[in-house]
Amino acid sequence: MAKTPLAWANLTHDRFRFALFVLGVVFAVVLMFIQLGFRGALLDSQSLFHDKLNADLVLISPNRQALAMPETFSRRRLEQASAVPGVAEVHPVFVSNGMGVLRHTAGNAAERKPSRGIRVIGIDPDSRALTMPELQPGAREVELLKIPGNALFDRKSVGFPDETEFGPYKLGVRTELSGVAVTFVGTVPFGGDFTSDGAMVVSTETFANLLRRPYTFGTPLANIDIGVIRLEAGADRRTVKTALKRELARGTEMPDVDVLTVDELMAREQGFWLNNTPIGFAFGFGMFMGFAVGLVICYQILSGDVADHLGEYATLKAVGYSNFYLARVVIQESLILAVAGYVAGLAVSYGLYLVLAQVSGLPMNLTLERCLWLFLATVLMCVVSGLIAMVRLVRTDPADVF
Amino acid sequence: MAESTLPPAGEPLLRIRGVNHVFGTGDAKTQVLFDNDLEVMPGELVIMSGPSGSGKTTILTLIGGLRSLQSGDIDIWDGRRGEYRSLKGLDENGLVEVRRLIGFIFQRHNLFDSLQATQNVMMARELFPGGTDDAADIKKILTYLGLSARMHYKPAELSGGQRQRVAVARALINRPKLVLADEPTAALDANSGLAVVTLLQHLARERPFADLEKLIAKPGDRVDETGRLTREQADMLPDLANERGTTSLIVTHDARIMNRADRIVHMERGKIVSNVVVAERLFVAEGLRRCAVFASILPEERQAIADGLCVGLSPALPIRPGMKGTENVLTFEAGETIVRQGDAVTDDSLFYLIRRGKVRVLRDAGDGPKTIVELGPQDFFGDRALLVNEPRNATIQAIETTEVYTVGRSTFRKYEATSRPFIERIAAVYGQT
Repeated sequence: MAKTPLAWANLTHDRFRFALFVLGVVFAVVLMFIQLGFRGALLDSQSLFHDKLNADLVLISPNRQALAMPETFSRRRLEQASAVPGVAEVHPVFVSNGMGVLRHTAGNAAERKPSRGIRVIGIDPDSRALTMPELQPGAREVELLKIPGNALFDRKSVGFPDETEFGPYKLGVRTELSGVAVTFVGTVPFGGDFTSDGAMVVSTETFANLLRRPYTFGTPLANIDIGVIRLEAGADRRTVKTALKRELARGTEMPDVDVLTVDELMAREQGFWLNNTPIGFAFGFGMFMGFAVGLVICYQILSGDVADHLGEYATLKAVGYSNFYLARVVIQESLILAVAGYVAGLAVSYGLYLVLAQVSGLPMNLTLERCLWLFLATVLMCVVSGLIAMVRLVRTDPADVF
Repeated sequence: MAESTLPPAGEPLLRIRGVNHVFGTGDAKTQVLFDNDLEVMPGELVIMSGPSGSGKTTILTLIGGLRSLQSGDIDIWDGRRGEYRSLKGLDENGLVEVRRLIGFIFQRHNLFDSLQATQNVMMARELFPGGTDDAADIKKILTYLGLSARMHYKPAELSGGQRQRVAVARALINRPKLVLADEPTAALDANSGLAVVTLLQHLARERPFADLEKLIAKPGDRVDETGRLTREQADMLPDLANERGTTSLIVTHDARIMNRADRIVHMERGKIVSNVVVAERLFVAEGLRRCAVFASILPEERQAIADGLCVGLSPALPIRPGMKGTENVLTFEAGETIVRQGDAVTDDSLFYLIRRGKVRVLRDAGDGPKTIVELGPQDFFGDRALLVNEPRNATIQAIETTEVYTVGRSTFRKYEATSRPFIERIAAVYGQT
């Protein structure tokens, strides 16, 4: 009905006040962004490894709901899978989460600091089990990795490359992993997560030497952590998956291996951290708190604005404007605050993400999806505040203006 | 804006019947309005007077649809629909629609601080979208009200009077057929107050140019000293008051407006105790004064008699059948005999003052009835027989539909018994006949 931009005028009439209003919303938006960032980092970091798997399907122990759980399965299962029609190749992947303790030995022994936990990944260098270019055929690192004792270090690891506690991780540096010497011959991009400070890729042979032989009797690589399966060109993944499940379940009611796509594996990992640990809840709650704080801030702003203009709003009612129109003005104010606060909050959060990612080594990703979600949350926060503030407006008695 | 029409000829724009209102509940229940009736005709400037707490504002808020009606009924003519809107039992949406029929001028002008003067007025205009030249119209009315240099100022940059003028412009921009105003000129200087009242009057009905001319400052006069309109303001009036029939109900103590009222409604303790149409009051008082009988009594006594006769309707308008408070007015159709020669005087005999229409006076001196004279509005008849207690000496017959105010014989007797000058005057006038 009305074209006069009343909502905008009411909000921006006093520029300083408007800036304070927006600042309030920015605070809430940044709070939510940070919580969402940490929550996202939790999910992203826990699936960094999965994301790099070069597989159409994977085999994993059903008891291994998270990568950090040391649940393996027999390598024979992988061989079994290779016989299923449609399967082109299978490769074992070994993952150690907790036993890979890195201790830098290059510096002054007197100044050495406590060791740190590293996720060690053992692969056949020629298997292309991981997607990074450093592990593709022909890459220098592939050949170097074949030499026992060589390792590729995680260049996204916390503090890399200027690790003050352990010294700089330069190529060729020799260091110590779980008491066994290793040499860094290259880097790969992973990043730290909530269970390890970074990752290290070694060959299966080196992996066996470092983490299996000292602790395992018999055949050190008889049990594997993850089986990478790649299908023949044109093979239907769903069909092969069904066939694999059927084959691997033969003779038992409770198969000791799950057949999953990489996406399913990631979802399982993220689901575990979200639902089975307090970390997921903590950040979810943090986000909710950000939302609640924002709700209160927005409500204070909007109800204050309504209170300031109560006489004028009552006048508008008296001259023939409906409650619907007045509600629209308040909602418009909410939306203006939401958009202004969101845009500024997004800019601030972007900067903070960069800083936090640098400091924590966690993947603080400002994805489009998260930006959209948070925009919706911001709009919802402001609109809900507006709706609450509106109650007073609707109850305003136009007779009061006389 | 949609075209707005006036109610059918002779019908009121506003009708209030049996309106009561109560504030609070239980022990705190307080009745503030008691059985109020009022009819206001299109184009009237109505002043609501009365002491503080007499219910003026409450009745204004009920008329304006700002409060829900508890008992009684209020009908407002909806010019856009061409029918009356009853406020009885209206829901919030209905009340909103009614409010749009009305222009409100509040004492606390309640302009939006964040909007410029033009935008504040535009807010009201936008209730009726589709206008072709809204900005120009707003500019015109603000210029007329002396705000041409401050149109784009926000309220904080305007004085109290200037803000009030913006509020007046906001109320009148849609040319409502009903304006409700609470002390609209209280904060205004003389010129602005006059400009507002003159605009309301010109929106009400066509005024003679000579009347307007009297209000215009002479060349060389300082407007801020004389309080008169400028020539430019006067020239803008025809363009601004391009619709007629606007009725204004104004609560005010401003004598400048009081003197220009068409109707004065006085309230006391929640009740309308007097409802005087100024033109009718003057009409009846003057009519009575022409009669020697009433000319001889004190003016305040004559005024009291006149007030007793008034029906609250301009004599220019006919009385509608069933209209309340018209017991003292009789209507006769053309050819009907009002008084017959030779009829004896009884306690029920009356004195007549013609309100509307024409009568012929016939006397039969034995050679058949002959017309002696024709009488019209403000003429009277029937006085002599009542005073001298003799049979009627002429027949009075309506030439056309005629309305007459009537005074009972008891009124005559009252002055006959108490007023020595009255008796002497009567003897002088009628004694020798």
